[in-house]
Amino acid sequence: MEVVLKPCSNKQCRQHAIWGADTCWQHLADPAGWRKKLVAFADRESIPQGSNFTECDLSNIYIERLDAQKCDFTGVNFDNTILRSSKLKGSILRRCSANNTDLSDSNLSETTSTGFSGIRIIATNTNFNNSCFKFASLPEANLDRSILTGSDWERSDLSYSILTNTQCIDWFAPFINLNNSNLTASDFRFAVMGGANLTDAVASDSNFQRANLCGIKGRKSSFSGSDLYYVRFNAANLDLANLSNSKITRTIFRTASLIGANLTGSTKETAIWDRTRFSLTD
Amino acid sequence: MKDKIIHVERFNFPEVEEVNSFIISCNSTGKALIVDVGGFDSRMEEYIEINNLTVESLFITHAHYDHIGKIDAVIAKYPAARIYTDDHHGNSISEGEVFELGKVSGIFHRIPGHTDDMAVLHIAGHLFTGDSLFAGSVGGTHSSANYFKQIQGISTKLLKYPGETIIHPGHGPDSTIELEKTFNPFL
Repeated sequence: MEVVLKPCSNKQCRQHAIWGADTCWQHLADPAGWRKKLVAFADRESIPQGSNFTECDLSNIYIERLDAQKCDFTGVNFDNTILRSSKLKGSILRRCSANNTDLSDSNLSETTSTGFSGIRIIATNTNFNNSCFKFASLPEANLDRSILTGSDWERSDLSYSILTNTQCIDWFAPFINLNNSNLTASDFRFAVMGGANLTDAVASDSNFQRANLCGIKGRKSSFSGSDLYYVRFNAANLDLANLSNSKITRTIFRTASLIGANLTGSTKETAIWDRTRFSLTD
Repeated sequence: MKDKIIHVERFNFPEVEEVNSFIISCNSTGKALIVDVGGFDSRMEEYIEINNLTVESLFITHAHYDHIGKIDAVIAKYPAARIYTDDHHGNSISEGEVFELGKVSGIFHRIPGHTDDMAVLHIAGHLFTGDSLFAGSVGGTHSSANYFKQIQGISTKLLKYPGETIIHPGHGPDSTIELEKTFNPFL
């Protein structure tokens, strides 16, 4: 059942009333009491689809297994909140703050989460399928074993993060910041990561078949043991990168720079090395 | 890739020169367009059936076998579908021709170079470029005149689209206009 949004009962206010109240968050008389009511309710039943939580302060609370699909959480503060095993599919999470938030084992698929931000978010084994995290700022995140297939992370910041064992097929992440991140044993087939910052990132034993890695900044990155079949590395900076024991088949390194890169043990069948730089004199 | 107006589903055929086919569907009407049919197979048929789509049209970017090879089988399967191609047998696509898929409008462009008949479709922020523009590359040509014609076509007709426009080439991964303007060494 979807709810019909009511206007805030404060006559000067143009906001909608939030779930379980007659006012918006700003005009709520007893925020602490409302938070207790939400936690108790969420523990026993689902939040009706379409419910409004805009700008609410949901920080520092424990709401494991929150079932709030297709709800509006725009501008919500989730700092230090435990949301493990939550169902938030199809919800709006724009401009949310999520410092140290625990979203492990949750479903965030099809969410609209533009501008989602927070440091050290925990989202292991979380489903981000077809979600939009454009311009998200989530450095030091832990996304181990998560599913990011078909999701949009354009220009987001996942630097110093853990993306091990993730599924990132068809990941749309141009210009993403993955500086110093760990992408080991993940699946990036057909991912669009052109212009990404992978400086010092570790992407070993991963599958990058047919990925777009044009123009990446990958100085001192490691693709050791990875499958780079038909990958486009055009104009990439792979200086001092480790590509040892990787599968370099039909891989395109046109105008890329690989000065000091380690290619030991890699296959090099039918790769394109057009105007590729291997030394300062090339 | 998920989109609010249309949905684009890619089907890759490693055994057919790594060609990509696409099914574009209008989210509000379920009407669908198939882009290139060089490797058309049961996966595409099942996708159409499972999603209850109505194939209204076929678009052949150009008449190389890896893009058109299964055309007879596809026509037999979807006989009511209108075919958009330039086959010198009555079908043709003109520059700027408007195309409609359910409630969404698109526009065709002619980008000769790789072949004389090369056509590209722009619809709802997505460009289906066939073998004219790839991630980090452009289509191979048989003469410098064709090469320059292709580059001119790409520059004047495709690079005018906003940077966030998503490019779906006939081979290899997707890209965006911004990525190609920034990193494609041929442009």
